Amino acid sequence: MTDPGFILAAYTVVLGGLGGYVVTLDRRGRAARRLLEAVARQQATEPGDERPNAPASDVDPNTGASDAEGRGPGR
Amino acid sequence: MSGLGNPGRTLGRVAASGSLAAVALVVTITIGLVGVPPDAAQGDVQRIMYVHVPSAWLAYLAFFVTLVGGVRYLWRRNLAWDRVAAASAEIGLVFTGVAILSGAIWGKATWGKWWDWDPRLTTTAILFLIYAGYLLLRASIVDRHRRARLSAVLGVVGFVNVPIVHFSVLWWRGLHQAPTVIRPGDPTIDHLLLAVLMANVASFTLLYAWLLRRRIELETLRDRTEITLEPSP
Amino acid sequence: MSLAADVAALAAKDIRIELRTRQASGAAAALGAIALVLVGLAVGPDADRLRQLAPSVIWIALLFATVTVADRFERIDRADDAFSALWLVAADRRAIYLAKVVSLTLVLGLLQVGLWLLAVALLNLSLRVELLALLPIIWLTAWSTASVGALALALVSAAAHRMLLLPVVLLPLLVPTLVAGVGASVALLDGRIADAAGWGTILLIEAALFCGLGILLYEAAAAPE
Repeated sequence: MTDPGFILAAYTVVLGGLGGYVVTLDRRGRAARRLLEAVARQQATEPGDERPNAPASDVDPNTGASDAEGRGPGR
Repeated sequence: MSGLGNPGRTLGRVAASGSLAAVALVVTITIGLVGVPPDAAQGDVQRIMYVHVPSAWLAYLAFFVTLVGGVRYLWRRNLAWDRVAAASAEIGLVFTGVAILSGAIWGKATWGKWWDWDPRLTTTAILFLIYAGYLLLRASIVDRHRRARLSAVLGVVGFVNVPIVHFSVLWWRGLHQAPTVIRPGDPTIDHLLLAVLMANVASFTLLYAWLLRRRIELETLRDRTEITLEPSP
Repeated sequence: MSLAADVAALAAKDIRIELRTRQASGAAAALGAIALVLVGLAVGPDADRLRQLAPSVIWIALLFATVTVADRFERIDRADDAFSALWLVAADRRAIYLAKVVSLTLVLGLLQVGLWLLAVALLNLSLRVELLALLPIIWLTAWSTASVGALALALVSAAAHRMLLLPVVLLPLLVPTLVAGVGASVALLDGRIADAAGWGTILLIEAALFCGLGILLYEAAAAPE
């Protein structure tokens, strides 16, 4: 390999590696935000909620899941 | 919380935006590639130094931040510091990986081989393994505070290990092989090249600060999700 | 009871269990012996090459045996929630760490002696008076390894896939001990006593440093919750 080849390879590895990490970080951040919103929505619409306008039906209007399917996964 | 006690606010001041880091990187890398003359001994291939050395230094800085975050957590039991430590460890691992790979490429160009058991490369490789273990340990513990506590301990022991590994390998190599004349990162470099190197270190540091802020935000989101999912007492 | 008395009592418990069951030492000795035999087969019958590789092979075999020994000790401790009970009654929890270091050092030290004797036979090492100088090197590396091992054990005990995680966490931390141990033994086999003494000093510093770190951090690492 010539000098320019080595330089290109090294710069590609560093900038590509860091750039790839930026992209994955962005994706993970968006996925985490979506998950938090979904969990918050699910928690807000569960029965036993004191909100005056809580729906009479036990089906969650956002997810379609019924109360019989239980709460979200614990960790 | 005071500025000193709130890590997020402190980082916010350091890294105003990703744009600043991006502009700085473009400028300093361009200067390194085309704006300065090549090294007298190594020629153009020495320009790899402008991305390899900052990556390695930032890896060490990142793991130092992990150490500080861990110690602060053990002292105050504030999970905000654990988030700093974990975020910095992951970013440090990325910088370590690119430092090792770029170092291997530079080694091939100058020594004719990908790996030479050079103390710095070897120490960086061991560092990679230690912090990979740190992240694997975190991934296998569910309880937040326990995870923070155990990671903090490993962060301290891992970081203390780094200089010991470096000097051990230096002495070990001294017994086994004569040092080569030309080695990447030779400290006796021209002042202009050193200035460009420092400029690249500075721009990489801005990138690190921005990445750290983003990664802490991700960690905070995950913690909030965990808290939301926890059953009520 | 004083710290020393607590350490002695807890270490004696570990050693008594080990003498009765031979779980840890038996498995580790077998693993070490297998490693030596396999290397001998892989390297071939060249006597000089085997002699050259002997220290490295022994130390690598020892590192992997350490993982086995550490894991077995941990299983015994955690059985029937015995560790939680010990944690609650211990007046000074540093005693738990130091006792673990003492018992691990003893087992690992004896294991090394066995491996070196086996290496004399399998890897064509000549028995010389200088090899007696290996004894302090053996015990220093055992102490250093035990200090790191006891702390690493505490870290992974709460983790899922503990057995897989233990070598990943422990082995990179043992690199300085490995390098110094190999350095010292290579120097001794070559008859360079001064170099071996230098490596021995490094080992002493490493062991003291890791043990000190362990004493400071063990409570944070091992507290059951």
